[in-house]
Amino acid sequence: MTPTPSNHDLPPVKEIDRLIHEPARLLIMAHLYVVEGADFLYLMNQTGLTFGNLSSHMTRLEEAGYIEVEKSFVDKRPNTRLSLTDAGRKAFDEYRASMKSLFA
Amino acid sequence: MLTDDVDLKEIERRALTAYHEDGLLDIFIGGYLLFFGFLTFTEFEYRPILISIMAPLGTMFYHEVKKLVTYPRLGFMKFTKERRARVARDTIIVLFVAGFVTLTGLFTGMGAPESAPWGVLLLNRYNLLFQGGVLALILLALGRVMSVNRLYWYSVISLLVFSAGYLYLGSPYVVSLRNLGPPCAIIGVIMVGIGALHYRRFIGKYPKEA
Repeated sequence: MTPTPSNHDLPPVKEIDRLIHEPARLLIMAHLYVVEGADFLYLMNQTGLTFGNLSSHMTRLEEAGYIEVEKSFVDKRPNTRLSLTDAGRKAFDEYRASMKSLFA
Repeated sequence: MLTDDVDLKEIERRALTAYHEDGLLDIFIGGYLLFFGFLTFTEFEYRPILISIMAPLGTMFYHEVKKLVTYPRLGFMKFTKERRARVARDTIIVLFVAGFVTLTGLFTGMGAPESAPWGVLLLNRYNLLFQGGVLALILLALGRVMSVNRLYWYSVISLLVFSAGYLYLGSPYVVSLRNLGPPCAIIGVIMVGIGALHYRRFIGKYPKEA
């Protein structure tokens, strides 16, 4: 009979950043990871998220210090630019590493 | 799938594809070739100067049109510093090498006497094919550098058009700038046409917000 694994034998699931693990936020983080910065409209088009959805996830990520949000006016129209902070980039690297080790 | 979502290379590729979905790159490169083709038919004294300054001017104009057309529809995205530097460096290398090879080929082949080395005679004999090959390589390299697959097809079209031009002109073939005009103009028209189709589709897919 196979012995039941105890809790400390389990892979490091606890180490996974739940804030990033949520699919919509994971998409936002991944899209921002491959560029230096992008605006709200670009992320909406690329991720397929609605305005409200993207807005709420953006706030969560900003509060966590993972992204930097810069609001300005371009041609008299409001423009919101987002970019990953150093902490966000590091957190995303760690998230990827922990996911890889989980499925290795 | 989670694994698909974190495929960063695929996300970067999609970002690049979306960025060039507007067809403006095709329109500008095609427009330049068309302009070059047109100029070869004229007797305008300052042709070389015009051809030289149109490339940087066109690049500046391209970026301005991109700001007006693409960003308000698709949104703005800035590639990483490393990528921008790599693209700029590779593009300069490609254009510099291509320009050098083209000029060398053109002038080495021009009016070569019978006693010229075999390489020069070969260039003289197959000059149009050589120039077509250079243009095809430029488009191939730009397609690779900018990750735009359409440019690979234009590369194939260039080879075909220049080969057809060579067959049409037949033998003995006389090396002349004027002979470069029609193939360049034909490729230019094809690129502008395909670019315009992409542009139309892009405008429909990403309407400008009120």
